[in-house]
Amino acid sequence: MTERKPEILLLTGIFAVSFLFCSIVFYGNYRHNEKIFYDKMAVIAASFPGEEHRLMRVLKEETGCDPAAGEAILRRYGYEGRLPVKGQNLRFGAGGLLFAGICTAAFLFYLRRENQRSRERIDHLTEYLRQVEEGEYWLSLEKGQDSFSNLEDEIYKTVLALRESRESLRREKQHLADDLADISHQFKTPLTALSVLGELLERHLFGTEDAALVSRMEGQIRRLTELTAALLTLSKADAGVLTFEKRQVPVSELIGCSLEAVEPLLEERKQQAECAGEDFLLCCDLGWTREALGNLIKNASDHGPKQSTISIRAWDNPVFSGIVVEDSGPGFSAKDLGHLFDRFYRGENAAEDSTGIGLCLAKSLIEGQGGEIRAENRKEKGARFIIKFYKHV
Amino acid sequence: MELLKCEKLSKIYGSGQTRVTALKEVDLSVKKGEFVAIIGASGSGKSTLLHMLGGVDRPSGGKIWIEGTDISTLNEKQLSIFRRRKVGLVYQFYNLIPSIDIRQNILLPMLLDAQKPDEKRFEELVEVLGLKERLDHLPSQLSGGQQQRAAIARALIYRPAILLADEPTGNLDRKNSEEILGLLKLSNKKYKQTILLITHDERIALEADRIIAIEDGEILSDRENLPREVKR
Repeated sequence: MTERKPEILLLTGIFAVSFLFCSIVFYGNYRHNEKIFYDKMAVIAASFPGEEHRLMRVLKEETGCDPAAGEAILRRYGYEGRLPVKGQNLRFGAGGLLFAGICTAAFLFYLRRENQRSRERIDHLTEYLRQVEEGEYWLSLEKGQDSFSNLEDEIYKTVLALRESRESLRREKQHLADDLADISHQFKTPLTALSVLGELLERHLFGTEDAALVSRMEGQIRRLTELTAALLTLSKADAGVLTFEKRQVPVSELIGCSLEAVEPLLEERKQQAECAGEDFLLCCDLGWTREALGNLIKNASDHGPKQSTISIRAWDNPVFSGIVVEDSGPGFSAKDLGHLFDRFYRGENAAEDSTGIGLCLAKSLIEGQGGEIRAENRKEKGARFIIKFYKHV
Repeated sequence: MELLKCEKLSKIYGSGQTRVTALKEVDLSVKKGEFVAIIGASGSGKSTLLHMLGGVDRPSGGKIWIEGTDISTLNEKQLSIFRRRKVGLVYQFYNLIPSIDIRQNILLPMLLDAQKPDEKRFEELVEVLGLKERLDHLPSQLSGGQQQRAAIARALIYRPAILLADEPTGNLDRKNSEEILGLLKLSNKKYKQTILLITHDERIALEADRIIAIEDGEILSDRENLPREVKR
């Protein structure tokens, strides 16, 4: 409470000065009246020569006279309980009053200004903390000598620590992303070499048995390559370092692009994609959203029966845009439902070459853009994925 | 971070023959940023629970902590300040004040507190909630969905610790319900707003991260909302 000391000192000072002032005024007034009384008595004594012993007796002793009789005499001469105020006294009184008024006004003005200043500082601090809450960590608090400076200093230190930890977190994330990029790059080179070698090997082989083996090996290499790419994307998304370039994309274009990527799959299973709903502009990163939606359609294709239809529907309202992907397969088992989006989780009816990463990647890609993804079973059998992109996120 | 916690919370209405136990020793804990749905039939005690948590009504027993404050220890004056600053309430009927415009209605909690409204937040909020064009209208000039948005804006203007919504879509058609629910989810995502939503409609509850079923004043189940069989 050391910062309160100046205020206490100030108040004590003001009190002492007022007390001194009042004492001086009182003393001066007392002496003045004393002098007037003395002068009058001298005049009275001089006016009745030879009667002074009576006069002194009246002054010094109780005479038993009724003061009311004297008051009646005085009243006859216009003296009504008070003595007439003379100019000098009036001036003195008015001067004192004026002085007291000025002092009070000055004091009130000082209090008001102090008050206003504290309010300004509180507003300033409130605004500052609001901005910190919103993630703007600027550090230019104005410094003052008043009682707020300690508080400000503490707040400043806390904000500094917050910013420090936030920045170190960001650095770590960047580190992680760099590491991942390095690793994936290191993987890519031998993988490419392996697939080239596989092709070379195929050319030198004549036996069908050997060729089949090599072809299987190539299939596995392809899978490893895809997995590496997917894992890299996933890790980046989870580390929060994946950059999404959002722009307005017609939803029909997004669905078209996504379908293009899985077209061979659909053809192989003789399935059809049926698009319904409205066409509208969706704010998203086309590349990554296409990949996510593609994964959902791929999943629907894997689990829908051959020659069935996969339905894709989009709708829009002022709050969010939604896309639904539905198949007519067996739907999700109760056991799978809770783990669909888990990394490397392979459901009960998983396709043979499934890596268990597609849905997980789709979730990360959608959520990374502030959207959400949900899965449920349709009433009329089949699985349903719902994606929602919120506006204003 | 644990934002809300209640321990052995109970509420008894009346006494003797007419004694009704609305809540029986309910234990509950909600973390910051959670979107929790409380589902139950009418008379299950869900609204009673909400009123206790919002400081509208006092419990008969047990304790409630919100942001570390035990609200059963507050006196009436402290409680009304607590309600204004820490709790946002949204009801089925929007409870807007009919004689003042939408801007004033939204800013009401701050005006009551003689606080200077945060202009930036206000602008952003009305933009997100799609009320920008309606600020000078009276509540009666707005549709039900728009009135409910204004009520949500009013509940959010103070950045409350918790938003309590009691059947917020109960009076709206399907399209408007979808939007209002979307807005609640949006505020949950965008402002990390903790939300407690009360409903009897399972489809609405499924939008939440966590679903608590309540029956006869007791918690029947409390689970994360994992995808599961739904009938549409």
